[in-house]
Order: sequence, then structure tokens, then C-alpha cells
Amino acid sequence: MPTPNGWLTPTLISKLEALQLSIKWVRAGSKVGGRFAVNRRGSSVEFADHAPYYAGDDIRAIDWNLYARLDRLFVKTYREEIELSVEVIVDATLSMSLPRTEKFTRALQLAICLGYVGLAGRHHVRVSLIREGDLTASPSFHRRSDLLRLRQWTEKASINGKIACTEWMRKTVAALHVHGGQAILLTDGMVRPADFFQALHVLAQRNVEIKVIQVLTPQELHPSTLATAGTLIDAETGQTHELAYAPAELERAMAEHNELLARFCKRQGILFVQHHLDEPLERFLTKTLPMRGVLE
Amino acid sequence: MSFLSPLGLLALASVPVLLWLWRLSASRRQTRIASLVPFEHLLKRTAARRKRLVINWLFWLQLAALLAATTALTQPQLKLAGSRTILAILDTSASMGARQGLTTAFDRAKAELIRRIQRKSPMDQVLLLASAPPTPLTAQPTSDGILLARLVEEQKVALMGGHLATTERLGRAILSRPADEIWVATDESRPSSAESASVRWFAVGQPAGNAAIVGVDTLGPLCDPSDARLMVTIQSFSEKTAQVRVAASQAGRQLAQQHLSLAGKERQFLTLALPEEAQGLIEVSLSASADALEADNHVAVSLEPKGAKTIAVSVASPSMAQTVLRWLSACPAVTASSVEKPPADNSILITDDPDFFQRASGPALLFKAPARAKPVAAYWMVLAEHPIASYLSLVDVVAAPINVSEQASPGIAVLAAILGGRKAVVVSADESEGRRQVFMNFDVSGQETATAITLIFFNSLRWLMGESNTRAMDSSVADKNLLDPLESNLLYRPSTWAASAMSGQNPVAQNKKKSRPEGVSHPLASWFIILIMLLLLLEWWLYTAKGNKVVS
Repeated sequence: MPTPNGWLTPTLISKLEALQLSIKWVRAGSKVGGRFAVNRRGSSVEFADHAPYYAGDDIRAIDWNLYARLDRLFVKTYREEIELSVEVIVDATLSMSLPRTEKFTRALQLAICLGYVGLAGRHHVRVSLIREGDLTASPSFHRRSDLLRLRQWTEKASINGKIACTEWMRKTVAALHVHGGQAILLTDGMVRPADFFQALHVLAQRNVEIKVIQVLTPQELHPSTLATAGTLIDAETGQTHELAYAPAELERAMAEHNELLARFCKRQGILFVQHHLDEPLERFLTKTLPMRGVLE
Repeated sequence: MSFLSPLGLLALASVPVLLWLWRLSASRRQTRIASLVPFEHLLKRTAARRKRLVINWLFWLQLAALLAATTALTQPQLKLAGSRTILAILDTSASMGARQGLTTAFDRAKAELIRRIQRKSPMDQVLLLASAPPTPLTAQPTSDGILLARLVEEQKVALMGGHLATTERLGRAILSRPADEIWVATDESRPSSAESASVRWFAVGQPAGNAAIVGVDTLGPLCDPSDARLMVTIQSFSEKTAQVRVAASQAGRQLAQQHLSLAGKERQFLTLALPEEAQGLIEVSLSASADALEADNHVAVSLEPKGAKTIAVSVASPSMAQTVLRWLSACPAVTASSVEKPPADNSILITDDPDFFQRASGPALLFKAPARAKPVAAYWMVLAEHPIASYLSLVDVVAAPINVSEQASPGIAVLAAILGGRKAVVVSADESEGRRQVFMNFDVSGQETATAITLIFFNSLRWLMGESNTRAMDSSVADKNLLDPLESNLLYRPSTWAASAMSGQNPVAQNKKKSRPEGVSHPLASWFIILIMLLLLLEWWLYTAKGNKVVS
């Protein structure tokens, strides 16, 4: 699906470069407090802060100068330059083309932007598409200059068929040897909750820090605007049903479904953000995502 | 508001059809959505049949258009009290062209009518008619003052007589009821039958002197080609003597003229000799010192080329035949021949055989001589102003055998003889059957040199050769004016307004009954049709401007 030209302006790129993917804090030389193992690949460290000494801490980290001054023991903590594997997973099933194809277009734009944020932070970024058929995944991009290649690859993406999320996730994580790092899932969430939860569980089992961005159109938030009467047809399954419900019932059902997804993610410590198409892309990236902790 | 066609309300049956169509359309609509998963728990319960019809403003537009169409079909009429229906009659007869000073009576009538129209109430509706011929100028009453004024301004005087009562009856027939008020702009004086508060009489005519051409006839050449003449009858409709000039011209070239003095209310008969080569359309015009009306001063006459005229003579009596042939031999322009049967062409037939006379197709002269050819001296009188009586004394003594036993011949009795106290018609002329016929009830044998009889014979011959084909200068109907000079008489204008124009009711009593005019009905159907057009335009704009979102 080609993305509209002209949206990736130099201004937006410079703003993206000021952002970085948020990562859980870990102390230098210790795994205390971290729930997920971080894939260390780099070698340089930089001083971050002091922490009180507790029995068991590495005595080599004690700051003796500070002890001389304050007569108390403190250990140094370090910020490690961590290189992550960032998997940007875009839902490319049929549901992403309805009610408007702009939903999939926006998801691709988010994938490119978040991918570039990852590239700017010297992470390894790979984009893959949840769709029917063979695995569709990009090569791993590492440098900022790979933005063009990332964009070119993404622009060729298209929607195809339907597939169960869990099944796809199992195949993909095995094929791509996903382990650790981050995964950003861009989807509309129009799947069975159980399937959704299982797919995330598959990722979690691989020690991947997961972030979910649900992309929705304003009509999906207010389903009564899509149709007031007649027959509804599921785009993926082809199932039909006569529409005979009050608008309030439809909206409540949609809201409950989204709430269910959000609650599960919250319980599992997964960042879950909803993105509506009527919110400008730049604002979402520069304000909403940092506010919600996806970026910083 | 009232409805002229209440059955139009049956169109309300289309409203349930509209509702059914919307339900059908809604139930057949299919919408593809991303997924039914969020609504799974709803789908598990039985979908209740939707009782409420889902509609949007497009439905309201269509419903409004249906209701507007239904209302238009019922032909609603709004009755506004205080407004009136006025019947306005403009006299366009020929006499309205009479000029006094710088204006004509017609100009004054138009000005008065326009002034009344401009001063009327905006709600008053006017039905405008012209009287000559009786014609409605508006199809139905209208309150549009600008339109009415323009229609009045466009009217011109007709070259014919008009009848105000007939015009009023026509207007009443169009309105289907008597009008609240009648305006009459005419040169006729207000008659007593129009003494009604509801009849506004605008008399714009004034007595004026007038002279008119009331008759024209052509006399082709008889014996000498130079004998072509125009016989013109003129009449004075004035109290005073007027100096009159009558002229004949062709293509601007004057052919003949005559000056004469015409006494008050006198009628005169004159002849204009035309040049030998004169043929075609000849214009006869009159100019007089006191002449208010110009329309009756001009006539066009068609003078057909006359070659040598053929005359067929079939007279059994040898003596009469000899006399007739001697007369005819004196005319080089005439070719006479004896025939044994009636001519099949348009030749003039002179005969004493009634059967021949009936079978002839062209002009004919019939001698009905008496059995005994004994001349009788008697006073012969001219009975009618007829070309055959030209140059004859009104009363003359003529000796000729007269047939007194013959029954009266058809046509006009031109000459009669007084015999034994009785009047016997000796010459009559008729052209009622489409051809000219002359009947002579006397014997012309041996009368070659008798002046009166010779004159009668040649006058008859000339009349038989001539044709009466006159028309007005601008090819409208003017024969009426020539035959019935009512429009030329500007001194006394007989009223063409009748009391029956008021439906035979007592206009005074009628006015007493109506203390205030009834309301005028204003049809509203056209407004509803305009509303429907606007609704359809709005629907079209919404469809094209907003796309399919209109539907959802």
C-alpha cells in the first residue's frame, strides 16, 4: 500500500530524531529490578547516578571520593548504551482496510516513524506484516540512512486476507529468531480477545518488551455512523448479521471490546495506546506517545 | 384556504409508499465492517425487528416534496378578503382613432386605463379585454400592474366596429361570475343602463365632424378604354359643410381627383375617370376640412386589366336583337356576337331567354319584354342609388313597352315606372348569387336613340363589366366600415352597452346587497410547484456535494 508522498517532512524527521524508544531502567552490572533481560551488545558505559551501598553490591563500584566527603558509602550506577532489536509488527489483514483504507496507511506511517526513532537510537529495526501467506518481513535496518530503504519497503506493503494472530506470531518469532528487544504492534484490535492475548503471550515468552498501538477510525469508535440499518458483513470472515441494535448498544459493545484489550495489556505490563485517525500523526508521535511512555 | 380539487389529497397515499421504500432500502443495505468480533455478545441474542425507521434529513426532504406535490394537486386557493376582481374593457373600435387636437380618443382611453391600473390596490385582480374584436388580453385575472399597463399600451385601434356588451359577456364567461367592478374606456357616452356604482365609465370621446368614404366601385372601360372610372360614395357625418377632395392614386402617382363641397350629413356619389392604362391596386383617399377620423378616408381598389370584353347576344326578338347589336357596334372595345347557347366562359350574356339566363356562368342581362310591344309613356323614377341609375334624372318621362305583369325580380329595384297609379319595376340589379345580373322589364326595340334607355343599357353593361373589390389600405377588414358606417359617425355614438350585460339584475339592488367586495382567490399551486423544484435542487446538491454520506 503506497503511503502518500509528502507526509515525511524534514521537520517531522528532525522531531523524530529528538525522540527515542523508552526502555525499562536497569542498573549497571546488576539485574535487580529488571524483569526482562536486555540484549547487551555494546561495550561503552556512561556514568548515570549514585545509589546507597547495600550489602552485596560490587565494591568496585563504590565512589570513594564521595565517601571521603560524606563519610557514607555510595555506589556508582551506569547508563549502558543498549542496542535493541525492535520488531515493528503491522497488522495487514483485511480488517485494516475498513471502514477506510487510511487506517492501514496510518499504521504504515507509524511503522516508518517508530522505525526511524529506533534507527536514530542505533537500534536494529525490522518491520513485518501480519497477513495471510508467506512471512513478510523486511531486512534488519540499523543506520539512520536506512530510513529510505525502510520507507521504500514499507510503501510496498499491502493488505492480504486474514490469519489468526497467534498462529502468525508463533511462526514469525520462530522464523525470525526473536528473542528480547522490543516489539511494537500496530493493529486495529479487531480480533478475538483470546487470540490477541495468546499472540502477546507468545511474544512475552521471548522476553520481548511489548508495546501495542491500536489504530482506529472515528467511525469505529461510533459504529452507528457506519450503518444504521441493513446487514453487516465481516470483511475477514464473511459472516453476516442483520443490524437491529440501537446505536448506544453498538457503541457500548465496541468500547467494551477495546477496554478488554487495554485491561489485559495493563495487567501484563504492556503499554497500550489508542490512536484515532482524526489525531494528527505528528502530534501523536511527539506528544501522545511520550506522554504514554512509548517514546521519550 | 380552499381546494379546487380535493381529490388530490389521495396523493397522500404516496407517503406510506415512501416509508415502505425507506424500510426496504435500509433492510437491503449491506455494510462491510472490519469485524463483527466486538459485537459478538450482541449477535448471540436474537435481533429484535427494528421498529423505529432510521431516517435522516434526506427522508424529510422527500417527504416535504411529496406533501408539496399533494398540495399542488389539490389546487389550493387562498382567499384574501378586501380584494376585488375588475373587468376592464378597452374600446378598440375604429371610431376610437378620432383625433381631437394632438391626441386621439384611443390615446386618452389608454392613458385613463393605465392610470386606474396604477392606482388600484395591489390585491385587486384585473381581467383585461379589447372590444374590437372582443378578445381577452389576459388569460385570467391578474394583479400584475406592470403587465396590465404594458398590455394596454400595446393595443392599437382596429379597423372595425366593436361591441361593448359582447365584450362584457365574454369577460363574465371567463370569470364564471360577475366582476366586482367593471371599467369601460370608450368614446361612447355613458348609457342609462350603465348607471351602476360598479361600472366605471371612462368616456373619452367628444362629438366631432367627420367625412368618410362609404362606398367604392369600379367601372371598367366600356366602349372607349378611357372610360375606366371609379364610383366613389362619400358621406358627411358633420353638421357643417365641408370642402372635400377625393383623389385616386397609384404607387404615389395621382391618377384623378375631384374637389367638391359636402353639406352637413349629406351623402354624395362621384366618379373619377382613370387613365387608360390604369390597372392594379388603386388607392382612393379623402381629405376634408373637418375630418376627425382618418381610418375611413382610405380604400384600395383592385382594377383588373380589361381586354376587349366579349358579349354574347342571344335575343330571340329580331327587333330587340337589332337594337342591342346597334348599340354594341358603337363600342370598339366590345366584341359582340350572337350565340345559340349560353357562353361557358365569363362573357357577358344579353338574352331574353330565362333558361339561357339561368345557365350562364358570367354576368348576364335579361330582357323581359311584354308580349305586346306597345310603347307606353310613363314617369320613370330612380329608386336606388345604383351605378345603373348614373346620370339619369330622378324622374323622367320615358316611352317604352313595359312588362307590368312580371313578378318582382330579385335584387335591388333600380328604376320603376308609374303606370296607372301603380309602380312597376322596370330595372333591377342583383349580385347575390355571386355574379351580376340585370333584369329589364321593357322592350328596347327601336330605342337606339332614346337617351334614357340608352343610358340605362350602357350603365347596365358597365355595371355588369365592373367588379366590386375594395379593401382597406392595410388589408384588415374594412368592408364592414364601408357598409356600416357606425364607427364614422362621431356626432352620435349609439351605445353598444346593454342592460343585459349586468345579468338582467337590478344593478342598484345588486350593489346594495354587496356591502364589501368578496375576497379574491389566489391560486397557490404554482408556489408549491416552485417549492418542489427547490427541494429537488437541494436534494441533488446534497447528493453531489456530500456524496454517498447523504445516504448514511
